[in-house]
Amino acid sequence: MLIVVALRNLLRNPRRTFAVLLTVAIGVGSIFLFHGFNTGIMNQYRTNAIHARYGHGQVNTDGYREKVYEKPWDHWIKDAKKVEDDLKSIDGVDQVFPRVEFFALLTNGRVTVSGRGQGVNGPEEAKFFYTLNIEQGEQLSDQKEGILLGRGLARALDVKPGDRVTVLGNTIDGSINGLDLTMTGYFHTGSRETDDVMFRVQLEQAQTLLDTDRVETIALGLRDLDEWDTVAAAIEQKHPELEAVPFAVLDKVYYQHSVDWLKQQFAVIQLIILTIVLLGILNTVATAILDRKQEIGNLRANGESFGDVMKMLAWEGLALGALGSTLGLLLTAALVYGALRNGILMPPAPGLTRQFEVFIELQAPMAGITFLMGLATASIGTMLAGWRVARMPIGQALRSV
Amino acid sequence: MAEDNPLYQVEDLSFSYQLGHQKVQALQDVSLRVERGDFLCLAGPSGSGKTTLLSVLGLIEPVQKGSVRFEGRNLLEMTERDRNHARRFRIGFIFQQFHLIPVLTAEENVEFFLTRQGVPKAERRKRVTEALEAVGIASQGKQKPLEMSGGQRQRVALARAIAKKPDVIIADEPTASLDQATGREIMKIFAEQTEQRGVCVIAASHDPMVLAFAPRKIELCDGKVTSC
Repeated sequence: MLIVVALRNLLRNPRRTFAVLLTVAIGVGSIFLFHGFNTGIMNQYRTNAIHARYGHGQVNTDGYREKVYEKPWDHWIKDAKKVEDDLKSIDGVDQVFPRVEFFALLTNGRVTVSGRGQGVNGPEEAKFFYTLNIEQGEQLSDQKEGILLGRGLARALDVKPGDRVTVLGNTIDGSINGLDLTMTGYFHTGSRETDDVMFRVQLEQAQTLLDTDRVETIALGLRDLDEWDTVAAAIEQKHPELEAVPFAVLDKVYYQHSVDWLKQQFAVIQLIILTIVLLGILNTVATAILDRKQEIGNLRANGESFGDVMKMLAWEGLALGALGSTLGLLLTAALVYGALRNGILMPPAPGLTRQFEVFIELQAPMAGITFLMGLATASIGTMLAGWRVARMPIGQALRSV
Repeated sequence: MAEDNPLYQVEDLSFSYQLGHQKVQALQDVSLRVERGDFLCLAGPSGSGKTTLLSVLGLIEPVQKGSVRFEGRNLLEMTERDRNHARRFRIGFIFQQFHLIPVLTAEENVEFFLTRQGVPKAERRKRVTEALEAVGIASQGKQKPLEMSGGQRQRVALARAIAKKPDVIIADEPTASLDQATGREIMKIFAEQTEQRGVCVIAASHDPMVLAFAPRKIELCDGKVTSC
């Protein structure tokens, strides 16, 4: 019966109830929307990190990343072909991308600049690393003597697709070696630090330049990112001399820090929104409950305890929270799947120079969490507002005007 | 036997309110004894302490000074839980301003406190029907308080009090909002409750009709009992 009274009280002053519902709905909707927006941005960052550079993760010899070696190539992966085949046989691994990285000088005959090269399997990588933004020319795929430059490098050398570029480097024995290659195009990752130094050549060309048959790392393309932990465990079991490092660790500065920063920002904004909702509810419900002092006094006079009255108010709060939260979630879903279905064009992220599109990704678990937040906030707000009246001496409550 | 164990035994009860910086002495050294089945009317001008005395007897206001025993139990020794229990099961209230729950119908208003007493549904329905019939508004059972006249609301409040089957009904100005004929009917119902069920009725009123109806009167003036 307390519940019946609590629920009917919601219909008592429809305008006031609507104001509270709207407060809860806007609060819950904002948190849900903001979380979806953050998820969209994080997914965009993740996709960019995985499909521009790192794959879902990379394999190298154990401890290789943490140490600086005088002769790093001594610690590169031996018998790479067999390791690649082993990796491919692990359930969840779709593609493997052997790579070497090296420093070299690039020249067009007039200008010489230094760069950081990647020897890659061009035909395979072209399919997977699709967010490597080719601004001019084409991706490095099956052009045996091709070289793909970062935008900054291409501009420094003043070359265009089809021009010849000479790469000069040291073999692992310290002898000077060189490659005469043809520029296929230039890319623009959005990160100036990358675009100014990076270039890509075929793995065989890089190995020829370095005079080695080893590979430094093997990037992995998985069936699903969620399978990383299982795949990493399988790799390390099969090859204890190797370690598997996820992309988030490889790209800690860009991806992981961005994600951490966004999460922290979300927590603060969430707190601000919840505080505003709580204050809004307190204000509206407090007014409503002050009008009901005599009624609450009557309930107490007829034997209802302070706890019973608080229980009734809690039911009112829960009902307001449930209705308001549902309204908020529905409005957000309508907004996201309606007006914002084509995404939002965002300015360049920190460290990047190109715009990107964010699709707000609403997630069912977050819908549940925000629903519960709305429920809790409305209940707490209602109970806080009712506390003073429920605690008031009965006689005083009955005498109230 | 009744003389040894009265329903209420009030001795030297004093009660004051703090109104801003001013202390108002509402009751001063009030002593009285109320038996089961008494029909007692508290008379006196406004501000004489009638409502305060009713509130203390109804366990709504605390005992500040003196002693009040309800069925032999000292109110000062009762816990809040005991007082809630007594108000829920033993005392029925009728307030001058009715204090019905506006979102419930007349029937539901009567039924509400029975539900809270834990009365089974069938018994509740029976008591609701009987109480509304007894006060003559069975046909308005589905109406909400705001759809009823003052007299009808007062009858609902009365039905709510008697349906609880209390030992005592505390009524503050029960006829103040009613015409003479309705007021008389209400008083008749009070009389029936005392005669047929042995319920004690303690009413506070200015109304000469109520004073004439009640077999026992206590007159209060400036918080003191002037005649019993």
